[in-house]
Amino acid sequence: MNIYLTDYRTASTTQTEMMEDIPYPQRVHWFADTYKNAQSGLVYAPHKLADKVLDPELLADLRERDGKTAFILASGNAHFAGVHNKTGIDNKLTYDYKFLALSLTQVYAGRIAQMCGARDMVITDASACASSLKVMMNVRELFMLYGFDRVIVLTLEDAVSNPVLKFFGESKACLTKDQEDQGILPSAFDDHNFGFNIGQGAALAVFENAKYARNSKAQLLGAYTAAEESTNAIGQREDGQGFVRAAAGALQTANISSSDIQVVKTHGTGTKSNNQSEKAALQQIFHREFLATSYKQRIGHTMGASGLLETCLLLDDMRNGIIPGIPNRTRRDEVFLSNDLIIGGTGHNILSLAAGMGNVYSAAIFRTL
Amino acid sequence: MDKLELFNSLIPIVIPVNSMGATATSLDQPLAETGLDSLDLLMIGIYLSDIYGVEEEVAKVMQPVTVADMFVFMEVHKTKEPTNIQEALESVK
Repeated sequence: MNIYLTDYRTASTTQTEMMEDIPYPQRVHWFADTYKNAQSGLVYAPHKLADKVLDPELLADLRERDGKTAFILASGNAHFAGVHNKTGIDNKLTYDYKFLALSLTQVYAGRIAQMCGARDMVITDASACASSLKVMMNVRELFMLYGFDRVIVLTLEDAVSNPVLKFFGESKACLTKDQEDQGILPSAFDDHNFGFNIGQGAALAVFENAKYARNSKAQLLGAYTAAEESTNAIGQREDGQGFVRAAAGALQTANISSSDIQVVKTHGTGTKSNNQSEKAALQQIFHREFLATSYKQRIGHTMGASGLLETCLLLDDMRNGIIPGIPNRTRRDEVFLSNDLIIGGTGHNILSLAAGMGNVYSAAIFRTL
Repeated sequence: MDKLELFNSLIPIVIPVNSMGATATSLDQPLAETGLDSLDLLMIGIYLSDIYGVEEEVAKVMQPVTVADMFVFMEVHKTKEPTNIQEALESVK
């Protein structure tokens, strides 16, 4: 069965702002307007972020289409159910949302599903940073096992919140102002620069079968999610077995081999552990030269939204004829792109990878159309 | 200030994509017939409470049947009153 990505909307920003009034000052990629009036308790920042991709015209169009339709909310991790304000920090990110029920993922998902005309199934997923790619496996299942005609995926994560900035800053998982002052810039698979800033991001993607697909942007060829026995709390092994298992599963479900992949959208956080794990995995998966890029250095780490959002951004870039290089690399090699690469035509196969805390590894394969 | 217009102006804030075409046609209309669900109505009640300066604890006892009932409750318990709809909406957007 052929599954097509027929439409999508994305929200992310390359713009950054240095947040000074937090325990671990750091630069973030965010939309300040999502927090406008949040302190009144009447506005919920994640919902304002989602509004950026909930295109009323697209949703109205979707409601008009017939066919068995499911909705999936891939919301990453922590911000729902009001946990965002439990740090004791008092700054512009502090607020206390008055409608707790609406901050519950399933309640919110049900409302958005209604807006999309998705009446047949509502699913939520919170597989941390793997969430939006992890649900690609569910998308395929819904089409292939349960006869759905359309699956709409909304993914979002407002990672620019006090608990996330504190947790990541404290654990040195993201870049902080101190590191920036020492000249470290966001990058991946590099000997000098490394890491990421945290970002807000969202994407709305529509998948349809051949009966309903029109003007398709890409084809979803395969997807798989795996776990592995981990050696640290985050769940990343040095030998990258989680990534390997996920990619192998995706290739198997796509019924292609790694030699059919033209470009890899890496998880690419640029942390020491991910560099080691993902690079080791790619070397095992490919047995040959391949091209790889990362988006987290451009738009920040949008956590649960990152896998699908970054894939959509890559599809946009490839439609414009480029595979973007990874920013701030100080070394050049033939695998991890340091500069933009000109690419023409369609029919290229993309392997997208994501890893989530809690030992979740996801891979999905898309073909450009 | 046109209370019906204020009520209807809050709907797109509460539900940015109004797929059901929810709207109030008169102040006497039962809320159940506006197309708004219970969560939408809860949010509109709290938004109105904010606009009229009604304490959250006080607002919780409101049990309106019609659109007008919400505004009667606000009139009784208000601590402030917006001068126009634009000012009212600005505080809750």
